Amino acid sequence: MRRLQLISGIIIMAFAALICFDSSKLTFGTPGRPGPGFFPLGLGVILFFLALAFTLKIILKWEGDSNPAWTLWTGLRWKQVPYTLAALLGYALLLNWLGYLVCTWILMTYFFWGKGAKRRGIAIIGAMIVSIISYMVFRGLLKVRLPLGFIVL
Amino acid sequence: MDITQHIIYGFSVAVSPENFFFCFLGVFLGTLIGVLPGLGPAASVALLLPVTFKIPPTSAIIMLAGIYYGAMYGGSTTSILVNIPGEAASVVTCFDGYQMAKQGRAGPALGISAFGSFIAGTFGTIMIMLIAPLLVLVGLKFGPPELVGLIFLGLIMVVFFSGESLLKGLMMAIIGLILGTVGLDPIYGTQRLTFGSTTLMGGVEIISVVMGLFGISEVLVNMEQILKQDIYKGRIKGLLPNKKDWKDSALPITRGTFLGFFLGLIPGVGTIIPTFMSYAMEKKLSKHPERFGTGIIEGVAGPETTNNAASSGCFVPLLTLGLPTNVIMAMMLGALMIHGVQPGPLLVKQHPDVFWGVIASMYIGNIMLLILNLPLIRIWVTILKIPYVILFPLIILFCIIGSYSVNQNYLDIITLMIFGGVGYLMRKLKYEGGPMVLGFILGPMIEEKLRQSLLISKGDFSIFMSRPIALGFLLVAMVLLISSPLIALLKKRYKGMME
Repeated sequence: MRRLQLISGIIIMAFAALICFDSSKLTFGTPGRPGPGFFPLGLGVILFFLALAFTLKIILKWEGDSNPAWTLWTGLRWKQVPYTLAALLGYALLLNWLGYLVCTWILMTYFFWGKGAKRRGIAIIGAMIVSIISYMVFRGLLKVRLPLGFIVL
Repeated sequence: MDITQHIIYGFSVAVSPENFFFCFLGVFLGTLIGVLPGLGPAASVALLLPVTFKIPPTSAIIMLAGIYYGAMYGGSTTSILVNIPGEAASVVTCFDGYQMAKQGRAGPALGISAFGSFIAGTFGTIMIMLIAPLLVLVGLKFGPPELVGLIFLGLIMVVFFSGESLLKGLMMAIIGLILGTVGLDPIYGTQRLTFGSTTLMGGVEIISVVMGLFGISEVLVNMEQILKQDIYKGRIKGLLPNKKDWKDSALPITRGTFLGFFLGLIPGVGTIIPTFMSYAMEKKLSKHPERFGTGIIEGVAGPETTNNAASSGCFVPLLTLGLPTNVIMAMMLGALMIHGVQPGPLLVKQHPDVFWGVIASMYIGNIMLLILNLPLIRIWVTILKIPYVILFPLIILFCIIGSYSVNQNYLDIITLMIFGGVGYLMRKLKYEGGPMVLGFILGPMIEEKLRQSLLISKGDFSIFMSRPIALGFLLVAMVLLISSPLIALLKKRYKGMME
């Protein structure tokens, strides 16, 4: 756990450095007339020093890692997390091309089937029903513009 | 107009067919989501935030408020029947509520939590009506330096109460503030932190951020666990508490009402701390403290009343000073700003319909909850039986549609995914999402007021020292910042001495 905390501190420090670098390209202005870079650069600097203090605090108090990182995921179905995020990414990238109905049908089938539905047929039909009903509710009732993808073509 | 006329006006707004419907929808959906284990009020409000974009601001806030206190209300049902709190403020309710259910007294436990919540909600609404106009008068005297001090204090208080590590909380708040600066500079129109992306020119989409941090991450954490749906199987009967129940609960309800409301006013305290305080207080004051945890009604009445009173109290700083005291209030602030309504002292003058309408609707909403929830408890129990394999994909789908619907841009779904992953890791590593969202929403506001203050003072930072109210806010914030490591050190020494 400590090792992970240390890594998180370093990542935040790197993020702060990136913010400082990018906002240093902007006009800083003067205290009487602050420019666009004034606030983000100030925040980046503060964040950097806070992350540095956090990281140093962990290093200085280091007495070994009695609770290794992997224990956070012991006994859990942790693979579900990256798979779900990857499914979301795939959904986002394919949405405009495949359209809402097909994309949602595939995603829901994956979720229903992959996460516990006992029969493939039930998962496929259930996913189809969810995708059609949600389309009707959001497109029809709430007027949300959902893409139809290749169906329109 | 005096207060009576304001209240009458508020009720006339709240009972209009449209607002009445959205109030009902809010409390119903809030209770529904509050009942489902694994989805707290923050996730509930985040999930339903996009729905409110298509409706007028008054209806939107009435609905969001309804979702919030409806979720608080619904959270107790799962605590009592499943021993899983529907939201964090209902954790304490599990101690005695579930034990009561096991003894065949689920009905009175659910009943007293509904009545207690109603009493607290009613008291809270009346207190808002009385306190809010006074705070508005104070708020009207605030200029940019005072507002900088107030927002800074609010942020520090949220960080102070948010978790174990002050440093982590501060880092999250600053990351939130940085996210708030992404996009075009409000004065010069220069691109900031967009890294060349045209999508980021409009800023990071708030809906995707909150839905990711609170909706998706909550589903991910629950998904990897093997949750057991061990629902109370007995018949729920006798929802109305008997005479003895009322006698035992009267004082806990009274104390919980006052404690919750006044603690709810303080930024960062939220609803969780008051419920634990209420439980501890009731145990301390009880003639039979050893019976707490075995299924006594005082252990349910006090905390359940307190969490609803606190949720009412949270609205006061938001509506009067424009200061969100917790992440849910920050989302409401965001919703108001999206509708072009700026909460704060001028809200009562510029948008009296929003101000008084929302306050009056809270009273109506509390009556709706009482009428709805007692007869609907059996339906909520049925909903609890929905398998997670169906529930979680539906929540994810709702998040996807919610984030996509704002700009019809697939990149918002990618933002949702990124913040879902970040939120998941934050939960694992014990970083709080609240300060980040609060910083994100308050970021543009504090920057604008800071720049205005510096323009007024011609770059002289002593403007914050020369204005007594601003100085007061900043001093309190500094005291909190300094005291946090000191408290930690004292705790450590005390622990060492005890050992």
